[in-house]
Amino acid sequence: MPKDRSDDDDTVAENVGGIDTEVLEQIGQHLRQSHRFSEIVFQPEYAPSSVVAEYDTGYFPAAIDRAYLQIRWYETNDFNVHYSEQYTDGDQWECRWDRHPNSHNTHSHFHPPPNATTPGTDADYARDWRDVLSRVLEDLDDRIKAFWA
Amino acid sequence: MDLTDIPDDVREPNEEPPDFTDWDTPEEVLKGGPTRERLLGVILQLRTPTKVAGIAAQANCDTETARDYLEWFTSMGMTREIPGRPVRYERNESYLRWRRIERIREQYSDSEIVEELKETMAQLEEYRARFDTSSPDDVSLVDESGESSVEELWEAVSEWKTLEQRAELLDAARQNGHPSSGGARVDA
Repeated sequence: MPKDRSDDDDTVAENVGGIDTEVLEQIGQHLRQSHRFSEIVFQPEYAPSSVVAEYDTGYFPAAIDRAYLQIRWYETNDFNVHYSEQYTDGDQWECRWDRHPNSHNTHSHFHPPPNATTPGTDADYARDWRDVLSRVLEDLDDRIKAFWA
Repeated sequence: MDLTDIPDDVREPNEEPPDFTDWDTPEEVLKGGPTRERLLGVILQLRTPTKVAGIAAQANCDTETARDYLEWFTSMGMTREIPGRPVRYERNESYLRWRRIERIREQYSDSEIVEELKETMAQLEEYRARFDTSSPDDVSLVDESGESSVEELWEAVSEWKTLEQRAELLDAARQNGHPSSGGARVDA
């Protein structure tokens, strides 16, 4: 099993790990308890390494068709958390929280909206997945509430 | 751009705001619940031996309670106790692996397992051909030709390793399903 990779050489594939299914399941079970989401899809066919949380569109203006979080978590505690809003006119608004080896940023980084642009901005995220996702959900709560401010 | 920068025209003037009172704070959603669940959320992240006090702090419970639960989780096979002073715990990979295999056998029929294994093996073969090596560990994340970014290579190697685990679990599930068949082994 790969070690936690925080202190290791970023560019050695031995420090890369596969998906941590245990953590992914825990994430799905917790998110399922929140009213924010209408559906939690564990390892869907179109994204077999992920858990996808579909936001309840009742909390969004009608101009938004779909909003979801797609989460991948690895044995090395690397991760991607991708948020996407899909608009009825075909537009999208996206951002991404990432921790993994990378040529343009530090290990932890954020790809800003509206298109999750690369390069992102350097960041520093907690190790515990519960802290990482708390921070993501807080940021997104602020956004969703701002629609109605 | 700030996440709360909302274009003016997203919301129609006649749209009524929703009621957010049902929303627990993110902290409550992810770190709330009974002590047992909070501890489970923590122990499944114990990739290295960790002291009870550290586990208790992460799960937001007192050390004695954590100790009791850790003994119980260990008797169930979820965690492994590392003797010493102080005693430490880590998640029990062999138990979790066994559980995954059982899940696969509950979820799929024998023929579906074989089919799934074949598909996974074919995907693995594509990775071996693409990188011209049999092990993902041999791949350098720095592509001298500059065609692929570190990020792209990291994603490919992660996926490759995920598929290797999947093949290994499917193969074990297949063999457990036929303890005495002696059928040809599919090389994983």
